[in-house]
Order: sequence, then structure tokens, then C-alpha cells
Amino acid sequence: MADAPLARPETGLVRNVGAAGLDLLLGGREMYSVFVRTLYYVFRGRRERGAVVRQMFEIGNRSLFFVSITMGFIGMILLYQAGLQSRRVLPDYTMLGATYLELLVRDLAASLAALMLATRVGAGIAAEIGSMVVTEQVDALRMCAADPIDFLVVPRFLASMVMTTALIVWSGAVAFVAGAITANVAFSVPFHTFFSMQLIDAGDLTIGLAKCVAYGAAIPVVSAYCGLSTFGGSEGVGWATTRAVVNSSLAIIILNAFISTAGLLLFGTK
Amino acid sequence: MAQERSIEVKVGALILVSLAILGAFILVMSGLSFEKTYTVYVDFDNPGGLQGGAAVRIAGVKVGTVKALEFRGGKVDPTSGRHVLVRAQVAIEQRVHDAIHDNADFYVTTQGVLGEQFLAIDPGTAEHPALADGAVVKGIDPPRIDLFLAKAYELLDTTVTGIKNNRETIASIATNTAGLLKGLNVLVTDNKDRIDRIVSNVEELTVEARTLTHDARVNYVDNPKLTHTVDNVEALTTKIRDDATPMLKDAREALANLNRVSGTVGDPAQQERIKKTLTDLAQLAERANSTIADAQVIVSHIKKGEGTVGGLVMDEEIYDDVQEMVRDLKHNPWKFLWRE
Repeated sequence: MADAPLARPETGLVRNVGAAGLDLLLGGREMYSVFVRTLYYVFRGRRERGAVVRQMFEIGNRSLFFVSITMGFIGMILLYQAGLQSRRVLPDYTMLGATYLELLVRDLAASLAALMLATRVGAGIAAEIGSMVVTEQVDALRMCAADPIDFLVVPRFLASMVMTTALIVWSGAVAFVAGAITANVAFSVPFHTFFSMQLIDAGDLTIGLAKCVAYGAAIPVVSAYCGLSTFGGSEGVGWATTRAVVNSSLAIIILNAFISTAGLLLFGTK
Repeated sequence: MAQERSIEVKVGALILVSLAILGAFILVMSGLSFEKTYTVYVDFDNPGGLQGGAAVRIAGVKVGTVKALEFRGGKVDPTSGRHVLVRAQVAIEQRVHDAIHDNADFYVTTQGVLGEQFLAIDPGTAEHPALADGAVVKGIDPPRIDLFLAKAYELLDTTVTGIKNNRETIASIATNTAGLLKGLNVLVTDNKDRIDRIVSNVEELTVEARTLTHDARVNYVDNPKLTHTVDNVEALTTKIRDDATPMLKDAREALANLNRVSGTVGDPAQQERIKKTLTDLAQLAERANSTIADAQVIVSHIKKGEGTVGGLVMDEEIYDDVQEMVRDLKHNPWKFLWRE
């Protein structure tokens, strides 16, 4: 017994948790590094107008149909369900439109549209950069003394900031109009009653626009980080794409929580 | 290059559309209005949930906005002399200036049951002048639901505590009431026939009373005879009233005369003379009686045909003779002068 080797303690779970924690920490630091370098090149980098416009077209116009359809349906469903619940409590629809608009402006338009964009735009960015990484094009860029952040991430970052905001504003309008039509058809709420801005104030709009910009910045940074950290061939590109979608969505949810809390502290609950 | 430009146009269009939506949204949200406005200050003790930016409505039509709510902490306002806790600065469109009079009511109410609170204006009456620009008015505070709930809670609490503490008393009251009702029920059931009788009697009584009052009315109130009688009595009393004075005067005179007569008669000498006169009158009557008796005797003699007058009156033969003689004289007047 005394000669028997010491039994190794069961550390699998602890090790896994530790490894995940370290990965998260390292990943967070990497992502932060990408974000800071992106910001640096936004102000100090070279100007390539065509690249930004092309990315704007890719991110904005190409997503327009998808986002419009999705947000239209989401708006209809949200309003219909809200109307049903409202009818159960108190059959008074005078405030339905105002409440719905407040909800859209403060949170849902930005968050839902950003989640949609994260799946489409984030996956695209990660796949594109990831495949460039595995085909060593990124390394080639580095050899040419061109920072891939400046060359690949900055145009996407700028384009995403602008087009995410534009798309969220557009999709919010689509969701609101879809909701108005649903309310009119399902609950006979007149359009004039529904189009009510009485619950909206500058605080709501500020929170909504802050979310637009934050999500617009987060999606390309997170996705680019996932793309740049790709390894292991085409399978790695697949993983990078998945991670980009998951992490972008996660980033949106976390940013939503932070911005909403900040808004609550700044503007109050009303 | 052409493709590049086409992309730019599409991107630009999307951005412009979004900017337009956002701009329109902000404009509508900030209550953009090109109407000229004037300012009115409304003082509240507690404006409830009224917020800056809330709508101002007359009869449901939006005519302005609440610009700001200022907390003045109960300081006395020099112009109105009131203690002002909260003052709302209200911008009202110039076009409704003439419609809001200086006795207008400003009150806070809600849209719908759960809606946002807004400031409603009841515009007042036309006799009063229009509310001036910059006027300070006193608003009507919204109903305090919280206060109502607090009071209602206190009331309920008191009631519940009272019931809890007096449970036995309440139970005994309930038992007694139940017993009373039961006894009453038995009483009513046992005496059903009597009660029915009483009720029917009372019914008959009321019917009779009705008839009675009706008849009484017809006979004694609406009756024309009665009216006539009353009129006559009235006329009579009037007449009496008019005639009473002269009648009394006459009566007084008659009494005075009577007094005089009795005064005269009351004298002893006079009385003696009257007595004597009466005695003479008695003797006179006695003599008249005997005279009449004598006359009766004479008349009976005559009737019997005794004496000359009796024969003349009572004898038929003489009458016939005289008649024949007169007739003969009529036919032979000469016999007055000549006898055959």
C-alpha cells in the first residue's frame, strides 16, 4: 500500500471551470484589444472610402429585407399578444399604441433588430475573416505591414455603426406600423389613437439611440475577434461563425442590461 | 465604377430614409407646433402624475403643452397672495386665446383608465373676459386615489378589528334576531286567519271612509245650498248690522215713552182716577147688558107678532093687504083722492 502511487485527485470539474474562466478572461482581453485597436485605426488609420461604402451596402442594404420581414412579424405578434393580455386585465386599448411605442423605442426595436443583424452580419464577418485567416491571407497582410484590424475590421466597424442605427430606426418603424395594422384589425384600435407619442420622452430616445450605436459597434468587433482567432481549417471557420453569432448575441444582451440600467439611473422610471 | 455609384446611392437612400424617420419622430415627440403660443401659470397643491411635456386639452382637443413644473415650496405669490406649492407653466396655442375665459377651470385628468395624465381646461363662460397672457390661475388637483385607498384601508381595518373584538356580541345579536324572526313567523302563521280578517276589515274601513269623505265633500263642501245659506246668513247679518242702529234708537224711544207712562200712572191720584173710571166702566157695561136684555124682550115680542110693530112685522095678512093696496093704488091712483 505504501508503495502504491498517490491517487491523483479528481480535478476534472474544477479544471474545466478554471479553463473556461481563463479562456473567457483571455478572450475578453483579446476582444478588448481588438476594440481598442479598431478605435485607434478609426481615427489614425488610412481612409478607404470605397471599402466602407461596400461594407455599408453588405451590412445595411442586404439585410434590409430580412430585418424588415422579421421585425414586421415580430411587431404583429408582440402587439397581438399584448392586446390579448390587455383585454384579459382591462379592455381598454387607448394606451396600447403609446405603451408599445415606448417599449419599441426604449428596448425592443434596437435589441431585436440587433439580434437579427448579429446572426446575419456577425456570421458573415466571422466567416469572411476566418476564411482569410485559415487561408493565411491575414498573415500575408501582416507581411505587407498592413494591420488586418485597419484593413478588415475598421471598414466593417464604421459601416456597422451607421447601418445598424439606420436599420434599427427603419425596422422600429416597420414594427410599429405592423403593430398599428394588427391593433386596427384585431382590436379595432383607430390609427389616430394608436399613433400616440405621449409616453415617449427624450430619455427613451437617448437610451434607444445609445443601444443602436453600442450594438452597431459590438457586432463587428465581437465577430471580427472570432474570425481573427480562427484556427484549424474550414472546420475552424464553422466554429468561428458559430462563436461569432453566439458571442454577438450575448454581447447585445449584456450591453442591453448595462445601457438599460444606466438609462434607469439617469432618466428614472417615470 | 457605375456599380460603385449604384451601391453608394442605395446606401445613401437607406441612411436618408432612416434619418427622415428619426427626424420626424423627434419632431413629433417634441410636440412640434408652428402655432404661436401664450403662457398661463397654473398653481397646484398636488398635480398628481402630471409631467412636463404633458398635453393640454380642451374637450379632448390638444391645444398646448405643459412646459415645466416648478416646485415653489408653499411660498406666497405676491400677485395672487396664495401659498403656491407647485406651479405649472403651460403653453397654450394663440388660436384658442379667445375661447378660454378668466373663470376657466384647469384640472388634471387621465386619458383612458390607465392613461397618461394631462391638463384639461374647462373654458369658462362667455360673459367673462378672455384669460390674459401670463395669467396665474389656481388649478383643481386630481383626485387622490392613494389617499382614498389609505382612508378605505383604515375604515376596513377598523371594521375588521371591531368585528373580531365583538365576535360574541355579534353572534348573540344574530342568534337573538334569528329567534325573533322565528317567533314572528310562528305568530303570523298561527294567526293567519285573524290577520286576514283584520286586513280585510281595514280594507273595508278604508273603502267606507273614502265613501264618507266623498259624500261629506259633496254635501257639505261642494253643496250649492250650503253656499246659498251662507250667503243669506251673510246678507242677513249685513242687513242687521245696517238696521240695528235705527232699531235700537226706536226701541230706546219706546222705552222712554213707556217710562213716562209708567211714571204718570205711578202717581196715587191718577191710580185712584183710573180705578174709578174702571168702576164706572163696569157699571156702564152692566146697564148696557140690561138694556140689551130689554131690547131682546121687545124683539121677541115683535117676532111673536105681538103688539103693533109685531103685527106689522110678523103678520102676513097685513103684508098682503098692504101689497094689494099698493098694487090697487098703482092701477087706480085716483083712489088717493077718491073712495069708491
